[in-house]
Amino acid sequence: MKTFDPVFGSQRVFRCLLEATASPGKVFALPPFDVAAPETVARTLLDPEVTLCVAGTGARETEDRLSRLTGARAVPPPEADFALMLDAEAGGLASELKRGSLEYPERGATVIYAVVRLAETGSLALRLGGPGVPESRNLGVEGLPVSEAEALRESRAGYPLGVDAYLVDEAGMVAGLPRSTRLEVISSWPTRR
Amino acid sequence: MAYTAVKGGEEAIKAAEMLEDAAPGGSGPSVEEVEGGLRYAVDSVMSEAGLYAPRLAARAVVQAQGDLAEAAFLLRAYRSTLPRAGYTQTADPQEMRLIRRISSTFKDVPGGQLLGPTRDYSQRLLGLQRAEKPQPNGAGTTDGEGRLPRVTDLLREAGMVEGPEPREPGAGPFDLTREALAVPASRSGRLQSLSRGEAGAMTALAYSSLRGYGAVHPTLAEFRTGYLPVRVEHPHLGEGVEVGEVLCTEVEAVGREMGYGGEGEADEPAMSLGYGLVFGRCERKAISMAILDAAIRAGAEREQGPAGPAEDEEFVLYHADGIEATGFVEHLKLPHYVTFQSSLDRLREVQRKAAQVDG
Amino acid sequence: MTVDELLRDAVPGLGNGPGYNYAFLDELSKRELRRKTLKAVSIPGHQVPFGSREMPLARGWGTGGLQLSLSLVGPGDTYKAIDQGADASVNAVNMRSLVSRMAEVETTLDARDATIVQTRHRIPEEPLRGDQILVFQVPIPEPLERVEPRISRARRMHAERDYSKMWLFLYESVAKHGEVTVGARYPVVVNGSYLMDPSPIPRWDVPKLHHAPNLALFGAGREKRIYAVPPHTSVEPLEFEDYRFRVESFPRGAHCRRCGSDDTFLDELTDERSGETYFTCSDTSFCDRRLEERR
Repeated sequence: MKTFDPVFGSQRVFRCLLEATASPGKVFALPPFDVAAPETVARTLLDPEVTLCVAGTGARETEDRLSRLTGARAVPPPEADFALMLDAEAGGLASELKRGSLEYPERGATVIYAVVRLAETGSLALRLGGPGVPESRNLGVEGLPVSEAEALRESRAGYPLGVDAYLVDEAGMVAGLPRSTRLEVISSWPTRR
Repeated sequence: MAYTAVKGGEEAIKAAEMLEDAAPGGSGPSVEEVEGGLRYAVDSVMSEAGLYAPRLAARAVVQAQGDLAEAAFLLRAYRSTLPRAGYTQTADPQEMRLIRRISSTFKDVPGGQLLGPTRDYSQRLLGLQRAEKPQPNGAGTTDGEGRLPRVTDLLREAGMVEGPEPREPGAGPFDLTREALAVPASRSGRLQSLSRGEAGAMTALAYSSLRGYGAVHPTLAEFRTGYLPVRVEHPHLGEGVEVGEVLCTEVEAVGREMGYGGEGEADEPAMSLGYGLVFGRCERKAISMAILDAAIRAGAEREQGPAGPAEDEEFVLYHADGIEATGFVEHLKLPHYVTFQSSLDRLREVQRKAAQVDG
Repeated sequence: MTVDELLRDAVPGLGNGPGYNYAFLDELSKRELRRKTLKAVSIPGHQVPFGSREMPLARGWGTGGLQLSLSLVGPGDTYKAIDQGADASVNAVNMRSLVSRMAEVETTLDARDATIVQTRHRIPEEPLRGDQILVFQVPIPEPLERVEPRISRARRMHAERDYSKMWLFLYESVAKHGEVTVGARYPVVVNGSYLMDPSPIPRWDVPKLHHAPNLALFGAGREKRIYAVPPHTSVEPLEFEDYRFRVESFPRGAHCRRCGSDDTFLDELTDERSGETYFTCSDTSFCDRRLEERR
């Protein structure tokens, strides 16, 4: 598989993220590289100017690696510009993250969730609305706890304050949930293990 | 030649460029001659570009045919393409190899007055017989003096000048090249912004304060020009390694009568201090910077708000950058016929309504 | 020395001099731009401050739009640049030559073929699609600048969504002149939330932003701010119930002297010989295509 190239790899991943942000809930395919898809997203966005926290199984190791590769400083969740949640084990992350201020709402954090699968339906189904969504759109997710989706929804109750999110699945698909997106959890049942 | 001719814009630009360079490879001064002989031009370009690179600055001066605003712009544009290789250690101005040092506070100061190379006290007569080639500047040939005591330190010890400001919290100083400056700015952000400011704009603003639009009219406790060593941390040994020197001008201005002041060691009233540090021998810019630093603080401390434009932080910091100012003023040369059409439409509508009322 | 020669020096592998990075900006600068762009899209209409690098074009000559384009482009993109609607205008030519050389992308005059359209003061007549990005060069990003030049205060007004001063400004203009006198740069509200400056496009183009299928990015280099309107987002001009927002009108019967269009934004010109006023399409490549089709 292709090696992740910091110049051209980043550019392609960024364009994919931009589309995902502009059309929330729509699923886009990230370009495939020899790195796990959530990490290509992190490596596209991180550099020494920003801070990072990683949560979930093997968080420490991933955090060290990303920190070394990108120069981003590892910090506790409330200080992080970027958060990466590796699996469903680390629920409630969104409620700990920065939401920005009314004058500088963009200082709210960005969280990347590594999930199992993104589709139109799933064990967690979200109904979305707002900018970038004509009428409404459904997004199905496997591998994101309901509590986390609720925490994310709650994080933006004081819009424009909030946390922006990207969901990245094992097949390398990505969906954006920027804070301007209205989230409604319409159905859910326990995540398959 | 119409500048939006439906076809041929590209050819027109090329032709315009060729006209500007009337004699390609002609007989103007070489980069070496400019670097050696037009040192003030080179310094001004480095200072406003925020990049210490005498050879590149000289190149920019030649390419811009002596338009220093244009040269500073060329150098700054080049600067923005350079990746950041690393960070230097914090430089200590006390380590400067001084070629000039003046204090106007006392007749005699510890360490002495060191005039160094200057024409400050000479008569400005235009030479009519001198050689045409520019002469190298004496600043490059002086060995300089080492550490000299600072008048500001003595005044501080005597409780006459406020103590140094506490370090700003956070990881390091604000970085103007990485973040947009917002006001009120941190002191590091304000000083960086002024240090890259345009000398003429800063001189005008500082002058307005001296003339009473504001009240900062300080005394120069220290005026220093010299070579400041730059060190980076050795990647393995961890200690600082000197990698070069930068020629700088540093000014510490003190005063109190202007309605501002800090507190001394014993919480007594004391003079406050305005600080200026710029690349090269940009002397009037360094002085203006110190005045504006003090003026902005005075403005922030006044209950009734800034006493003049020089004390208004947003006004000063957003208008002192030469590259931004010249670019926007000159952009008026670009075509604006769509927006103009839109204004005409509104004016005609207003005229039509006025005519209806009259009739 | 011409820009051509300078660029030949600068592109890696062509000259002998030191080369520039792909797409001119270094990777860290691009990364910052990209992060801020994503935040801008996430908070439609909100102005996100960014570091703004100096570009090889003067401040105020479209450096914000250019930085956005350079952080976006990659191999496979097709880039179009227009100024006042014209591809051949000096500023557009400059942008096109820089982006095509520094990022080695295709360029086009046809809006339909472009993946990125960078513009100064117009939106193409050709409706854009969802897979296209429209990048605006913005001189003054602050819509409140007309009533509050102080950035720090304007930012507080945005934080409180307090736009009363702007309403008062429009009201006074009606009271004094019987008409809202704002020409280009007409203030709009995005997503029912932020007041936004749509850049100095004519009012003619403002309705094209409302629920557009494409993403619109706005870059102000000198003022160091980025903002965005995602696709399918409401963009509403400020208006009073009894003084509606209206686009520019042209004299009855006005049409393009070249292609005959009477449904496009027109440039007003004077015939040097007869002294008569005539019109041509402001969007020159759209005009060319219509002309072609009518032949």
